[in-house]
Amino acid sequence: MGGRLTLSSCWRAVSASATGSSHRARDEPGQDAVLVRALPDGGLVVAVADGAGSAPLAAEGSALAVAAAVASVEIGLALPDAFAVARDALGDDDEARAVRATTLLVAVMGDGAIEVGQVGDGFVVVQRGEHLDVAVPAPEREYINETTFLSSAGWEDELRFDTLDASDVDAVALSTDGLQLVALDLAAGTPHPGFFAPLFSWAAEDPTDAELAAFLASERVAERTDDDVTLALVVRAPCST
Amino acid sequence: MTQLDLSVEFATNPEPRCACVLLLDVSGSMSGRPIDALNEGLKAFATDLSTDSLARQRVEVAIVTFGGDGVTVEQDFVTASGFEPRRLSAGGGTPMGAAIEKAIDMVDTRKQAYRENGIVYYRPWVFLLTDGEPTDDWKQAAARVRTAEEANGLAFFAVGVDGANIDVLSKIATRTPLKLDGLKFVELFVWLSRSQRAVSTSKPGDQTALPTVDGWAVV
Repeated sequence: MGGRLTLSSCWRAVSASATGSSHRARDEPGQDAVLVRALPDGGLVVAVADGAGSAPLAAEGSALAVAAAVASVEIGLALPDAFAVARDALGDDDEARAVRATTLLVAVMGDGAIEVGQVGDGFVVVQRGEHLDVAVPAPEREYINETTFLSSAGWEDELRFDTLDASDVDAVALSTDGLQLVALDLAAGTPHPGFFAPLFSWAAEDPTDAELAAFLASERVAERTDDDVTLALVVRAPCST
Repeated sequence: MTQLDLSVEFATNPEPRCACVLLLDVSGSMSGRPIDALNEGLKAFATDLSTDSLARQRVEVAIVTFGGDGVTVEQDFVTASGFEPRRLSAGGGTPMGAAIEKAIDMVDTRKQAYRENGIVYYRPWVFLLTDGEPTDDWKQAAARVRTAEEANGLAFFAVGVDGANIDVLSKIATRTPLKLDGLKFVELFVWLSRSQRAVSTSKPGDQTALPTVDGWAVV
């Protein structure tokens, strides 16, 4: 899968997905989705989603979720409403939604504030100077192979939002859980600096879509995870006046 | 090599763990061909797990036996890559209740160790294999299995070898006990390995598809 470079007047994003070996071995398509759009006010909206392995139409679900969430933000809906629209986009009833089960993570990069929303696993990382944080810590869950999806009955209990002051934020990354073993220090629950610092530096220079896609599809990544991997990197760009 | 391949470092997290306690009946009635077949099955289990590059680092095997010497921890948790089953011998009674409680205690302790060390994990399995019925009090063990299953704390499976009291097993396990076809221990343990391989690479939302039990269970 390819990547995409999106410029807005104040933020710049590069994003890509790669299909995990567990799907390639069964000739299945990847089930992650990512979408980035520039907003009229100079902001940027980024969404990533991870379709559930057991859901028959998981790839469709993740694609629908990011499309609906991004379109909602573009027309000016508040982030919680964008999540509700994305859930409705999965289907009209529980059964229709369940076959398109997916996680959803969205960041709205504004001039003054950054809004972040998440349901299900995956992670949003925020860089302030040298400092890295996970923006919306995942709820405590006992087992690594369990999560709540946008389509789940208790989705609203798991829906988490945060609004960050944009002034001291240098970069934001959104990822599905496929990268968690290499990108996070799980014991501490913190981003791994050696992973994110070079990626953010690279994104701030002269990133190409293809290069991020090639990195995510590399043997090095595949050795550490058999899951789909998706990464969106958002860095500062000069604001046009 | 691209610039990113060279510059991006990966976190060194421990592999996620998938604990599996084998709860094995080594009472007198298992003497002879059954215990030999069980030993062969354990070897097949170790061999099959070791062929899977992720499972061999993620599945942790422990063995608790119950029989002549009471309840014995034959093997404390060891990752599959280091699992070399010792030969078991049979004799004595069937203190199944105490063995089940020991297994549940071991699972609880192991999870605690995972959490203290920042290791993420899958739901542990306890796999009971018996050809008889408990000769000790098993009611409390049954209650603990039920409580743990209801809390999603572990998955408890019971398999009866010829002569097993399936009625009692069905009062202990919340899942329907299965009956081993003859002495197909090798087929059973290859199935168990394949199941653990599936669980130890499962993703959120997976309804982990376990392999069919046709090869070893009486339908």
